[in-house]
Amino acid sequence: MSALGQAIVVIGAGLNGLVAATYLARAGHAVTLVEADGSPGGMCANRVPISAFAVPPGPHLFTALDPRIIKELDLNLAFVARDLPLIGLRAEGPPLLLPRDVHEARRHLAPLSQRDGERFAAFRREHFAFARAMRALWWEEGELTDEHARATLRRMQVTSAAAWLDGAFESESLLAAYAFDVLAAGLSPSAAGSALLFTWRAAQEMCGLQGAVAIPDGGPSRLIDAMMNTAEAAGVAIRFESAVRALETDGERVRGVVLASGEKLPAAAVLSSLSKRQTLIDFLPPGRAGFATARALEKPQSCGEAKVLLTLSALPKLFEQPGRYVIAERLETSASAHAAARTGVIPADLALEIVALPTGGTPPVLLSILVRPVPVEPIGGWKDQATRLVQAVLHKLELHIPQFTGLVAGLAFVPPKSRDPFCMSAMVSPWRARIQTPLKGLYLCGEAAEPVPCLSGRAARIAAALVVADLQEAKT
Amino acid sequence: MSLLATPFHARAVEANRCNAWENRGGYTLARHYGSIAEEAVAARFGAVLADLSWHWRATFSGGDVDAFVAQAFSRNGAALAIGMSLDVLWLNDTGAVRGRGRLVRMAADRFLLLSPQDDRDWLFFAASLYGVACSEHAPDGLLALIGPTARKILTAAGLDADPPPSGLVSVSWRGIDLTLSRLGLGYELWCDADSGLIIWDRLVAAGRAFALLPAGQAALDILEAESGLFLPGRDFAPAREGFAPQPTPQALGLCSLVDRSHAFNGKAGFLAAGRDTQLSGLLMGAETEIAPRVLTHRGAAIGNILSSRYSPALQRMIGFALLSGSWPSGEVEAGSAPCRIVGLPFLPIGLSPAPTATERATEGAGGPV
Repeated sequence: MSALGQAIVVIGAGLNGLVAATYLARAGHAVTLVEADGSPGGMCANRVPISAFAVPPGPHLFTALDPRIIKELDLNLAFVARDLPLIGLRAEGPPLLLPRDVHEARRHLAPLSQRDGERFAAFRREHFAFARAMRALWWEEGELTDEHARATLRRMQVTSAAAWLDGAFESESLLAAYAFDVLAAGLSPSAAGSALLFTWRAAQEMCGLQGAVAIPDGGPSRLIDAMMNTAEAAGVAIRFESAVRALETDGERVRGVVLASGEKLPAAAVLSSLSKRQTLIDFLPPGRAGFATARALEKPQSCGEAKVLLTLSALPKLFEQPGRYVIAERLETSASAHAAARTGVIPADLALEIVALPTGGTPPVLLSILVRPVPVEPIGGWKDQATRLVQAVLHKLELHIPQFTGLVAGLAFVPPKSRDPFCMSAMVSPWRARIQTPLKGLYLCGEAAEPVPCLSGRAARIAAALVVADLQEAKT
Repeated sequence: MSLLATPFHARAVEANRCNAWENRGGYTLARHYGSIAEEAVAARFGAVLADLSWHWRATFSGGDVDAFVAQAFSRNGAALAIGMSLDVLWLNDTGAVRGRGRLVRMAADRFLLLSPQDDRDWLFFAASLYGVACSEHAPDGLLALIGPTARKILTAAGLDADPPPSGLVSVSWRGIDLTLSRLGLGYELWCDADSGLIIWDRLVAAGRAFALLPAGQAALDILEAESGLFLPGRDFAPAREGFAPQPTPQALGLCSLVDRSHAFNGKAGFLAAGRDTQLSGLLMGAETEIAPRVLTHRGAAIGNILSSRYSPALQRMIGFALLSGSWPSGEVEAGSAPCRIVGLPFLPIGLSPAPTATERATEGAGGPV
C-alpha cells in the first residue's frame, strides 16, 4: 500500500470482484476481498457436479470479456474455440450454418430465401458498424458523435428485437436461429428497445474478433485461477467464508462492512459485485438507498435462463462441427413463451443454446445447454419443475437426434439465477450512474453495473478507476 | 367518473345557489357560493367556513414510524412533540418534490399527514419498508374556520379549547368528539362523517352574529396564495416518478422546507441541485393571469414567474416568482406587464386572540356591534 492508499473492501470473489480488487490494489490501496463461499469464482467456479466432473453454473461461452482486462492484467488465456458459428437446428432439412464469413452464410441462406441471402451481408455490415459506434457509450464514458449512429440509436431504443429481425429477414429458419439471442436479459423480444440487446452482443470483442463467441481452454474456471494469481500478486487480501451481513453507514456515507461473524471492516470505499438488490436492500437499513430504488428492486427479474448439463457416452453426429447450436421453434412465438414464463409457467416453446464440449474422461462428451425463457420462480418451485424442464429439453433433442436419450450418462440442472430487474434506460446511461449508488463510498462493480448482465469484467475495471479518482479527489 | 360527497355536502348544496361546483381529489365541492371576491375578502374582516374534507389525510403508525418519518420527509418529523406539526416536503430518489403537506405527531407512535394532493402509492410503499401501518381518513370531515373573528365564533359556539399555532387538541364539544387544530390559515375542525352536519350547523349558528360566510374552493385558493402558500397540484406539478429530475425544491423556491441536518430520501439529489433559492411575491400590473414565463428587468432575465392569480383584497394580480439573484430595485417586467417584487406572504391572515371575559359577556348578551 502506498502512502496514499486507503482501506477498501470488495464484496464477492467472482470475476468482477477479483478484477476490481486487483486494479485497486495495483493503484496502491489496501484491498480486502470478502467472499461468502469457501472458494472464488462465483458463477465461473466448477460447482455443479455431473458424472465424475464439476462444471460452472454460469455461462458456457465467453462473448463479452473485456480485452483490455486480459491485456492489462496479463491473464494469458488460451481458447479452444475462438469464433464459433451459429448453427440453427431445423425440424426439417439440414442445419442452418451462419459463420463469420458472410459469403458462406449467404450460400447457406440462399436455399431458404434468396432475398435473405442477398441482404445478410449488408445487414451484418451495417449492424456491426453501429455496434462499433456504440462502444463509445458501452466501453467508455464517451458519447456518440456520429449523427447517423445517434439516429440509429434513437430508432433502436423504441424497436423490439422481434420487429427488427422480422423486418430484416423473411426466412423462418433464420429468424428461429436468432430466437435464443432475442430472449437475452430476461426481456421480452416484443419489448421496445430489445433490439438494442442485439447491438450490445455485436459490439463485444472476443479474441480480437467483433461479435465472436469463444470457449476458454479449461473452461471459465481457468479465468478465475488466472485472476486469483494476479490478485494475490497485486497484494489483495482475500477472505473466504466471510459473508457480509450489513454495510456500515453514517447516514450518507458507507464506512465499512459488517461480516456475518460480527466483525467490522472499516473502509473508505466499498465495492459490491453482488446484485443491486443484495447491495442496496439487503445490506442497508430500510429505505436508505431510496424509496424508488427499493420499489424498483422489490421483485427480481421474472424470467431468466436455466442450464441443463448432460454427459453423453458419445458425441452425436449432429454436433460434430464446433458451433453454438440453437434449437427454437419460431421467433414469433418467443414473445408468448416469455409471457408464459413471466407468469411462472414453463413455456412449451423453449429456445436452447447448446455447446458440445469434450470432457477428457468418461463419459467423453458434455452437452451444456442454456434454456430460455424460464420463470425464475416457477409455480410449484424448481424442486417440482426441474424434472419437467429437463424432460422438455430431452424431448426437443430427441426430435433432432433419434435415440438421443440412450446416449445420456448423467445430467445436472442449474435453476435460473435471481437477477435485478432489467432496466432498458440503463443501456444508455453513463457508467458513473450505474456504478455509483445513492450512498457515498458505495459502488457497484458487477453485473448490476453493466448495461446488460454479462461476464465482461468491464464494470469492475471502470468502477476501480472511478473509486481511485473519487478517493484522490476527496483527499485533495 | 363518480364523484364523492363530503360530510358537509348537504349544507353546501343548500348554500350553493349558483350551482357552481368543482372536483378536487374526487370530491364534489362548491367552487363558490355567489361571489369569489366577497368570500375571499370576508376572511380578511370577518370569518369564512370552508370544506377541506377533500384534502388527503393519512395516518402512519406502529413499526419503526420515527425512522420512517425521518427518512421520508424533508424535515425531521421524528423530533416533533405530540400534538405539534411541521410543514414538510417529500422528495423522490433524485431530489425532486413529490408533495407538500403538514405532518402532525398525534401520539408517540402515530403521525398524520395532511396534504392537498395524495401520494398514496409512494408513501404507503415507503412506510411498508419500516413495518409502518397506514390508513386514510377518506370519509371523515375537515372544516376550516378562517378569519379574524374565527376565535370569537368558536368561543360563542362553546369551543373554548385553543390549540397552539401548528398544533392540535382533542376536545369533546357538547357530546361530539373532535379535533381542533391550527395547521393552516385558521382553525380546522376534524370530525367523523356523521357529525359533519351538526358541526356545520353549530358554527353557522354561532357565526351568524359575526357575518360568517361559507367560502368555496376558489376563495380558499386566493387566501392560500395571499398567505404565500405554494402548493402541489394547484401551483406546480409535482414529480410523479421515482427518478424524475424535476421539480427540485430549488426550482420551486421551497428550500426553507428542507432541513439539511438530517438524512432524508433524495437528499443527495437535493444537495447536488445547487444553492438554495427562495420564493418571492409579485404584485403585477396585468389584468389577467400570466402563464409561467421569464421575468425581466431592463430586458435582462432575472427569474421566472411560476403562477399568478387575482387578489380581491389587494385589488390586483399577484404571483409567485423565483429569482436567480438578489431583488432588483424598481419595476420588473413580465412580458409587457409591470411588476413589483415583494416578500411573502402578501397578506397574512390574522387570528384574533381568544375573547376576554368582558367580551364574552357582551357577546353572550347580543353579539358584537
